[in-house]
Amino acid sequence: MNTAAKPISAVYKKKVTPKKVVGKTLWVLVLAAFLVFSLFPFVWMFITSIKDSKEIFTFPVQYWPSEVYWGNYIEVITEGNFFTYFINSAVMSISVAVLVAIIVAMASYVLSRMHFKFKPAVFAFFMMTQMLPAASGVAPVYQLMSRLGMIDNMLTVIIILTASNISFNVILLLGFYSSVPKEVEEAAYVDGASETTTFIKIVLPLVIPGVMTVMIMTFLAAWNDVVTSVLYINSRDKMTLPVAIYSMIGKYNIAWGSLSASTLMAMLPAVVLFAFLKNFFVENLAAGAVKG
Amino acid sequence: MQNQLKDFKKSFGGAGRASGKSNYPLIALFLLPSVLLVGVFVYYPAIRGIFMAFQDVKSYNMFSTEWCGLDNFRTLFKTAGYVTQWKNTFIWMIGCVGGELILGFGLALLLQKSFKGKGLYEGIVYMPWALSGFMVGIMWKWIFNGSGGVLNDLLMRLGIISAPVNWLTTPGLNLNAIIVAKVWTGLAFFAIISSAALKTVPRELYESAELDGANAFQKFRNITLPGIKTIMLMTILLRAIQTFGSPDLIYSMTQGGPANSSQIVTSFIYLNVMKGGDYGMISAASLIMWVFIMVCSAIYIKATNALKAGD
Repeated sequence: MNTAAKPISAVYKKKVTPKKVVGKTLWVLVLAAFLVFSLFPFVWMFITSIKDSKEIFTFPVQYWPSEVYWGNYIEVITEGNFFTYFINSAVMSISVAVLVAIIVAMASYVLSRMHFKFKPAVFAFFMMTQMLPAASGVAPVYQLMSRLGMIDNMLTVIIILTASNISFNVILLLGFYSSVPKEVEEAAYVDGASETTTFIKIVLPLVIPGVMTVMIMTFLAAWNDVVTSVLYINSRDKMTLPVAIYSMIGKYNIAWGSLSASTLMAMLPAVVLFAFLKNFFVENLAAGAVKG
Repeated sequence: MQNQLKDFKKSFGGAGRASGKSNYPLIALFLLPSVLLVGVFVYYPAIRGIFMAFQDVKSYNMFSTEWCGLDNFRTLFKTAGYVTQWKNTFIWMIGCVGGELILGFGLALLLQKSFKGKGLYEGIVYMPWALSGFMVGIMWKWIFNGSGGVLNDLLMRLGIISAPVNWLTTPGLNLNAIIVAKVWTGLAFFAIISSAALKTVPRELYESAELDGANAFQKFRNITLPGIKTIMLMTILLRAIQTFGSPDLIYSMTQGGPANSSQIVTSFIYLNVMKGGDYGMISAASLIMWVFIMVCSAIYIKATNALKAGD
């Protein structure tokens, strides 16, 4: 709190009045409250994860373990197949992100640069999906996948998540393509380059920031998915992290120690990604709202 | 959405010129994967779902196409807790969006001042937004735990409650507890957008108002609010539709129980497909939800256009 108060007094060198002091103190206190509110669930989950099972359920609550116990982490990693689930999650999310990026880069290119008859219809085709709630087709998709014998198959999850992330990203990437000047490709065409060459060598490199945006956002969406994975994955060796964790909370006696340890480790990739790319996420979200 | 339309028009408008090639085989090849996937996994199920709502499809005769009139709707309306589901859905939408807006906007106002370590501070308070709602639900499920929960302990130490409260198993309380968790993840969304919106208000307006002797409240009411109204209203409507369709916190915290007391429409649909029950009835529920979302979206688009026109 004190460290936060110092720079403010440095910024505001105006006359110090009692009213201003009260205002500043309140400002610091409320900001501190937000910080505590944001951090508390993480901290509490961590403290729980380093407690012995006997100390987890004591009431009144013990705020620090009498002895730091790493057993929950060891148990989750050695007995709980944590790495299998982690690798499944990673393979699934990366596949979805890469597939969506490739498919969307192609579709948006055509919509942005090519001239064809049904263009408005194709555009409307993608736009309209934004109004379909994901839950509206669960039963028919499940039926279709059962008929194809694709229940309990990782590929099913990858296909469904890829399909459901396409439309939004086609529209997103279109914005990036339209900011690339047309003269760039016209020059390539004059030099006799084919459309495919122009696309891969000239235009695509210029929209790489957009493709990266698509990949990162899609990766996060796939990593965080629970509803699709829980629906289609049953066997232990195919489970992604959320599915494995879902199976842990279905029990009557939840093992909170190992659950806390798994949850914290499962959140780590998203936390690291956000920590490194905070400005990227913030700008993306803000740009969408303000420009829109 | 407006902006994307503009982008589209820009690219579409230029299509007739020399750069707008019409290589149909290439166009077909490049569009095929996206159109195929969206067609099969988004449009087909949506349309098939409309038919299924009027067909007798159960887990034991999954591929039946036998018509059954309005039976599915009758079964649905008779389902225990169907009215509660919709009541909960509205409480959920209003509670979540309201809470996120108030706290998020408040935070954005506080963060108007710059200070040392602001980037790190934002990194921490915005972090929950990037996390899976399902995992967040697990953290809060433990905090709200009725026997060993830390919230009960804290409230008892502060003398606010005298005995532990079963937050997640008491109907009437459990949905509110889930809303708290949702607000925790979503307030960053509103804080980020509000900050961006506040930046769009020209600084000169504040300076001239200060010269006129306006106080902080007057400046807020007469300059800030009108300046950000459009963006905020659009964001609120968009967020309401998003919140409607995200049952993952309910998945981890209560699974809709006990006795459907914390069930919302979308969690009901997903949990029933998972249980492998009456697919016709689930499709009927989806159809009703779909119509509801369409109406909301129509209002959203109308409101957006009206607000744009008013600018």
